[in-house]
Amino acid sequence: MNRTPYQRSIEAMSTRFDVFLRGSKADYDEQHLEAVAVAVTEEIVRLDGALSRFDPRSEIARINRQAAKQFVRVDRELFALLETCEQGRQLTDGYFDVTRGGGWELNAADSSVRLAVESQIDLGGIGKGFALDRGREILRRFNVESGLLQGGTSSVLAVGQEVWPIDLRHPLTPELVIGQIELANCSLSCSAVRRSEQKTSDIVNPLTGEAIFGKAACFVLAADATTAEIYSTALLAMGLERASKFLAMLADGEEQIGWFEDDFLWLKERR
Amino acid sequence: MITRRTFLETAGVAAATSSMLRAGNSPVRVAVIGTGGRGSDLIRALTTIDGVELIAVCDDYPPHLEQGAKYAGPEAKTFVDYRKLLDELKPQAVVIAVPLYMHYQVAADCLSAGCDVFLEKTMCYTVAEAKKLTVQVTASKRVFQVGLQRRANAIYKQAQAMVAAGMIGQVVSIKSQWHRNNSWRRPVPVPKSDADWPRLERKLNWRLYKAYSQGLMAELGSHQMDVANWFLGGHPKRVIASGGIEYFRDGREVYDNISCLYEYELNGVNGKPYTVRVNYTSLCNNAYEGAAELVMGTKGSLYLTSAKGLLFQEKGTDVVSWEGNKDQPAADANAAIVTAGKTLKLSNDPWAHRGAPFEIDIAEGNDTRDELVAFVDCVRRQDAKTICDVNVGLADCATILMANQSVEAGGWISFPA
Ligand SMILES: NC(=O)c1ccc[n+]([C@@H]2O[C@H](COP(=O)([O-])OP(=O)(O)OC[C@H]3O[C@@H](n4cnc5c(N)ncnc54)[C@H](O)[C@@H]3O)[C@@H](O)[C@H]2O)c1
Repeated sequence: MNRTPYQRSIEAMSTRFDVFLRGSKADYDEQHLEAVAVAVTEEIVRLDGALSRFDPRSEIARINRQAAKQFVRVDRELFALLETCEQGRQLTDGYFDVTRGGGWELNAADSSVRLAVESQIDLGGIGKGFALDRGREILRRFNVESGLLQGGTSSVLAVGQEVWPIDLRHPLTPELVIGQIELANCSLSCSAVRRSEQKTSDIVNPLTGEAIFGKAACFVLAADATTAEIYSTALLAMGLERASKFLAMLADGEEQIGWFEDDFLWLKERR
Repeated sequence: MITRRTFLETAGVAAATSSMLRAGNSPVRVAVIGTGGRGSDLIRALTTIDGVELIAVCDDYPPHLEQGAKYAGPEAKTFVDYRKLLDELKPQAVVIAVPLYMHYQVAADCLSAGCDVFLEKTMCYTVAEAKKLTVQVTASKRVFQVGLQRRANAIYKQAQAMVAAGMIGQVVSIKSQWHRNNSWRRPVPVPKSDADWPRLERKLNWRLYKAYSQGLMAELGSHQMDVANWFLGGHPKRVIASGGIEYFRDGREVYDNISCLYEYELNGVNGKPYTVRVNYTSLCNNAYEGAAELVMGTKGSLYLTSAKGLLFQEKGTDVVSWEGNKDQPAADANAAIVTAGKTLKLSNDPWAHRGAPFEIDIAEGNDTRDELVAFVDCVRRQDAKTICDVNVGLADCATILMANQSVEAGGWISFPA
């Protein structure tokens, strides 16, 4: 397994995505890997086109424009993602909230959504993970046994049993490696209060409506990238103290949670 | 002199909106045939349109049917055989997204079954089929639309109105291209050693084989040559083209690059004809310039993509009198008006040395969804004047196929009579 993986990159969701693939069977040659990698990148671009709140052509932009006045029908794929977001909100006591506390109503009977007045949907905290999970489905459908998918370096998904070593970098001083993990058949999501070049955080505490502050970063390993994104965003918004209490109450699951403030520590280890 | 106000009026073709389809009217019963890549896009879009009831999806490849059914939802029935679907459900309208070589047969059968038809581009695999279909559509009086979604795109609609209003002067040339950098291959779910590989390769990568596909011109060029036909108000007189398989020598039969030079003969104001040349290229191994059209006129150039429209004024000409908002009522800031005619705003584009660029501001709208909204609206009103009717489809089909013919024959090919 030491061969260089096939790599393809794409710009989407205001960042860069990389797809690394390795074919394990002689039959699945580079031609196959390229076709799969293109299918993955095209899927990511397609989802960006549907989920971006900045692109006026997107479904999210349409909802944000129209759904304050009435229920707006959305397609089933997007509705399922919105339901996942709602479950995430309930699971995290409201700290993961794609409406930033604004509120919405989802109607499963006809896949429609209505926003509270002034409320807007921002899938920035989950879209990359969702796209990576869809990428994994494509790898599976086309029998690629090993792959690493990443978006913006903050969302990573390892597909298959191969172990991919990942450096965790200091959010404000990216030259510093603060930890190392080995990722296999698992997803990693990192959220930091801000990057070095940012003055304030773009993560909002949905319960207060205020941007979070400090210098913390949260690292979540989970079976799927969507779940990892929900936890990393919510826990960071909670802050260390509340996050620790929350995790103590949380039923044992697959998730593994790391925190960095002055030092790196595991808040929850995988059982 | 054309002011911003006058071209807003010229361009004031209000997009059909789904709000026109008020609740209370009975829903339009729609079926989708072909649930691969494009069919899935269309299914997703259809399920967001008020007044549409997606009653069935059909595909003869089980994994794609399964995917289509997932997007369509549990109320939609699934079919492997589209004729059975037509017999059993008698849908009011069908949306067809099967490979090109099947377009004619499926569309003709749907029309014969009394359905209104939305047919993906390119309309047909041959001009002869396209002509037969045109006759059938006209005789049937059914609502018929071809899936050339730039016709529903706010930027292109605005740009076309700007050209028609003379804002870029006399059009002298169009340069357009669709350049990308990948093999244009879909993955196949079994290895090459598998006995089923050849069948699946041709099923999934139909684009690469001549029996099913007309290559880059049909799959990509059809959109952009339709823009040329639309903006120039006609069809080309003749074309000379060159293409080949130079890089992806992987068993494919369609060119991996093609370059075309089209001539359009237009009538000048003084009654004297003049020729406009359209350069079109498509590449699979260099993505520089991507997919765009550059419409060049004596007074300015329009650079167009589905997401961006820029107007570059020729230096030293007085094309647009930019008046900001001073002559506009305050309500101009609201979205409804911005949708009807796109506001131009000064852009800080890095290409400013080409002349002050103005940007066609898109406020909203997704052209794939909007073309379906427009189609459903015509179905509901039984209005045969769709945004992209059978004659547009026929001209587009003939336009792109003559380039392939020129490559094969080597030399100028005239537009078919
Ligand atoms: N307007 C656009 O922007 C756009 C974009 C992509 C594709 N297209 C067009 O859409 C059409 C389909 O392209 P695609 O990319 O979705 O291809 P695809 O191969 O992904 O899908 C075609 C589907 O049709 C199915 N099919 C074939 N024969 C059938 C039959 N007899 N009955 C039922 N189903 C049948 C196939 O199994 C397949 O699932 C083409 O004409 C293409 O040019 C348009």
